[in-house]
Amino acid sequence: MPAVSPETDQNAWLRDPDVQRMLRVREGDEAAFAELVEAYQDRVIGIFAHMLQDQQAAEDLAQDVFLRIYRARERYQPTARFATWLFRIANNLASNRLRSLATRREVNLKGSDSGPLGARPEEQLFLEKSGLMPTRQLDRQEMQQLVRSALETLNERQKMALLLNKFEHMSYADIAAAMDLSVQAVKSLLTRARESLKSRLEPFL
Amino acid sequence: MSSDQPRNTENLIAYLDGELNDASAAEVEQQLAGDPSLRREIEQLTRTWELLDVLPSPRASSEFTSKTMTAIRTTQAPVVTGTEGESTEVVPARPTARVLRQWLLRLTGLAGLMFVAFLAFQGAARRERDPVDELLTELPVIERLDQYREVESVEFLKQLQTSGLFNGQSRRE
Repeated sequence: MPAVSPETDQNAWLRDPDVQRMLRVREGDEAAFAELVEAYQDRVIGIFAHMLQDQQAAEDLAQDVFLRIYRARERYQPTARFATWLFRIANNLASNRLRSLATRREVNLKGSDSGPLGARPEEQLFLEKSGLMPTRQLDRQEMQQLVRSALETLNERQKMALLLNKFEHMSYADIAAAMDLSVQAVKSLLTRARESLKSRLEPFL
Repeated sequence: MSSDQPRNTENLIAYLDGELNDASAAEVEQQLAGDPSLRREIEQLTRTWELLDVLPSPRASSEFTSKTMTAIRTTQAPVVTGTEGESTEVVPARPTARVLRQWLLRLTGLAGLMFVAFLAFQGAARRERDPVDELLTELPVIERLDQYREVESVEFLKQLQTSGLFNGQSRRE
């Protein structure tokens, strides 16, 4: 599972075509900014959708990311790959949004009701696998729900680090830059996240 | 390598992610070669990781880019700073209304200047008139000024004229 090689050349980011696009945006090239939006919209929305579990909220937040990038265009000074800078902004906005939702969000994993698959779907699946109920092959939708539920047991930082590592293929160094953490902190986050996922999903492997 | 050696899950995951240097990676590989339970653990970590691929890949709606670019163009309007860390955008007056207002101000100023110039010209012209001409014009009045002061009104004069008292009879005998 190779990761993106960490930047060893301090000026390697200058060869980043998206850094070059952003420099054009700084000079007033609106079309270059549209190219960046097109290139990153699915990636940003994908991360946010997994974090927020809400497609519309993910799109709204993604638009905020791009607006912030555009407003900062005149002060843009490239010091990293463009994706690293973009996801740093995304991480900050996601943290702010989750913090504001924290008091209103209900955690349903251990609840006795709610959820599209009825009461405690993860517990039902666990019971099946334990032998108390007839075993059966889980279909794709059930697996999605299972994995989604396992992902929801991670805390915000573990989840963001894992999503950036898995779906953005970011190196530990880039994740550290995006999340304003040390590389060792990222390593610890990913270790705890993947151990947690393993323990919850192991019965279904 | 002995299976009694404490497993370093952190290093295992970093090894899977390609984040170890050559020396550390070689050490992990040696441990894996000699420890079946370690190989089972790394296999489970790998399969768990691959399970994440079943998650759907959310995509942007078809109008996301156009909506974002529209929002971008709105942000190009002058910004009025609101509370700290926030900004309120205001839409500027339409260029045509602003231009009209400027032209109106210019015309008003020009009209004012012209009026002042007219007044100045009139005053200058009045000062330049010959005072002797004015006296000559008023001479008949000046010569009879004492008599005119005795007259009560113009109507009285008209009555005297129409009365015939002074028609060719200047004295009584």
